[in-house]
Amino acid sequence: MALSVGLDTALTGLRAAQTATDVVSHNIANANTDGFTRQVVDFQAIPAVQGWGLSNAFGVPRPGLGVDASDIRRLRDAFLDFQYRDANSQSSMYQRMVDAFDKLQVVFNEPTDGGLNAQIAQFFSSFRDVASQPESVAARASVVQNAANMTSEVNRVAQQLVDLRKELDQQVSLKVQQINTITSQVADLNQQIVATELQNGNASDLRDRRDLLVDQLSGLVPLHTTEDAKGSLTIYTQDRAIVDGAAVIKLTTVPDGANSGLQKVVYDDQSQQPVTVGGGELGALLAARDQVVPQQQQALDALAQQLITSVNAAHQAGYGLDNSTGLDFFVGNSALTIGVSGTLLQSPEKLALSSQPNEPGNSDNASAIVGLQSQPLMSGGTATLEDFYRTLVATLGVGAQKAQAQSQNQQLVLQGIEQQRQGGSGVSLDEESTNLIRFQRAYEASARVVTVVDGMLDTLINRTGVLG
Amino acid sequence: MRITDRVMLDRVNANLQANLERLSDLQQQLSGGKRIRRPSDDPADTVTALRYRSQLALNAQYERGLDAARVRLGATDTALGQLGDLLQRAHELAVQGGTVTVGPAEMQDLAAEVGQLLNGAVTLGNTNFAGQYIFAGTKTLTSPFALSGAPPTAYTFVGNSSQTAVDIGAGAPFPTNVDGNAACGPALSVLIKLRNDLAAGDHVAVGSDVSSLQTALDTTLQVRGDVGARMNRVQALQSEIGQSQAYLQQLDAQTEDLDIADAVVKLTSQQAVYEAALRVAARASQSSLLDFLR
Repeated sequence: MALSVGLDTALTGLRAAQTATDVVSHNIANANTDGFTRQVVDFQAIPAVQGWGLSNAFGVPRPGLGVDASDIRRLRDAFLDFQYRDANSQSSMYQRMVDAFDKLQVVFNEPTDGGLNAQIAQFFSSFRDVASQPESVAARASVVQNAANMTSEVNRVAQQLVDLRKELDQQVSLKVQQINTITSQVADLNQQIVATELQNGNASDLRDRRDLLVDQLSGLVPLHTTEDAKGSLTIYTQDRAIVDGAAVIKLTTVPDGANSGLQKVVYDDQSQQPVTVGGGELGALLAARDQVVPQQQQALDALAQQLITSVNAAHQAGYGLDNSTGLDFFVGNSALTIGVSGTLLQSPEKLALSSQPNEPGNSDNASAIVGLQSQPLMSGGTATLEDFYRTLVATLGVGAQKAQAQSQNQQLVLQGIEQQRQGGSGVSLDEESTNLIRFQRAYEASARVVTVVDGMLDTLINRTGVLG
Repeated sequence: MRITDRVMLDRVNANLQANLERLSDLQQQLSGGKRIRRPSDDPADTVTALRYRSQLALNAQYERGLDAARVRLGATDTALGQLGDLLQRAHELAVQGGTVTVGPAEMQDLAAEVGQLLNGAVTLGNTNFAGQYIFAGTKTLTSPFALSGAPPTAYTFVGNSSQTAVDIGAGAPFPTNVDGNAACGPALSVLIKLRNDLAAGDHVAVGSDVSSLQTALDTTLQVRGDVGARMNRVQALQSEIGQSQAYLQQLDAQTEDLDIADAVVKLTSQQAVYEAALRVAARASQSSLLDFLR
């Protein structure tokens, strides 16, 4: 066996140590890169060449031929990725829900002295106040004014709920655009990864980028993925694949006539199939837009409508200072449109406080209107107007509290999984430093082998056969 | 578990964030003085607090209503008192006029004075307080009493006997007026008759008017007694409501307000925890293997 084989063997050692050092260097450089997975070199011993009658020729056993840095691998656990993405969908959804509830709570602005609870009480109180001087036009004007304050507060809340819904709708379109951007990038990366790996190239960093994008996507919509043998990733929503190899099925939004013209999320192909979104930011936005806010709107509308119906009925039965009767107190038919009748705003003397004509000091009808405050008019005759409103506020509070708790829980779960993932995939500088020493020593030793073989060759070539 | 630098730093970061959030929450509570700032802080207590607030506002309204009632009853009491004085004076004049020794000229003088008293009584019956004719029932914008005939032979009443009242919460509304015709009518009738009897110089008739005057005076006093009793009731109710207000305010504060001492203790301990976390963060990852390699 030739001495030069020893040189070749040492050379594989040098190369392997150099490759390993390069990988360590890459790891250290990316210690703080988002989504980076630490890489390791797989070493393989090159076995001795066997056969051709060479083995044990001349009775000498044949050693192996050195080392091969066969592969550079990412250390990543696919199951943790799956768990992370699942938790991320949940966590992002609850986080968005908390945002929506926070905005709702600001809209209702309770408990304060200016909120609707105080305004409704004030409205009825003003009818009690005027009862001690029903003939005073000034006192009547203050009743009408208090009522107008209350209706404008109802209008403000209703309008802000409409605005909130519009804002959520705009965010839906925005999130759909983000999803499309990500899925296009994933499809591009799919192509690059397949091409690179077909040529036995190292696609680790491309895979890291793809995984990071999928992580981000999981925050927007719940998803699951499969990877084929060639390394191409398929991403499924709850309905169907949105990325398959290089192909992307984009999502788009179309105005939904059945839902007040708000945006409906559909697959942007011939099917125009609606997308099922049970989580992620998109899911939260849709749930807040189509359930949470409308629920509050309906409750507020019910309150306004009952107020209009009951107060109007009672008011119509009474008589004003000028004996006018049969007049409505409120106009409008919803929380957004409720207002005090213009006639009464202009002429408070028409306010029907008396139960009889020609009795300016009679305030029996004012008492009848005051009586509405304690009557169970709402929820099928089980709650007063104020009870109903307070229940509405409580429901809002409970919803917000629940979303906050769930959001916190999911964040903890997510953090736990991320730590586990980082534990496996993250770069430890101590570890890399140790590896650096290891590979440096290996390099030095291989270099030493070259020197030794060189010396042996020198002996063989220059000294052999020379006497003295 | 394999620990990397990133895991450590991320953990430190997350913990610092959580600590700071709790700290800021406590500071916000303390600076606002309220435990409940949004319904989600405590949905059940939010509803309770809203209920207390409504009840407090309602009670404040009842207090205003009772104030109005007290003032109006006060005005009624004053008017009835003056009417009583006036009837007292008429009684003296009638006793004088009932004596046969009083001559025709003097009888005319007495008749003139009773005429003045009659006008005074009508004015009292038409007492207008803060824009309301207080003896007119619910027809509070029309002056209820007028005399007919010259010299007057009768009086007319265009008010009614309906009640005006304020809502004081539990129970029936609290009446704030008296039946004007029942309170002032007998006085007016007897004064008209007395004036006419005096003008006619009829000593016997005048003598019989004395007892009618006494009856009218009794009626007035009786009504006035009722008004006085109601004023006492107003006072009692006001003090009752005042007490219940104080109690409600206390309950509301217990529900909504922050336990300052408790919050300050929590804040202090949270501050200590935060500082400790900061100290740990400063030391985290300070050393690595790299420090020891040459």
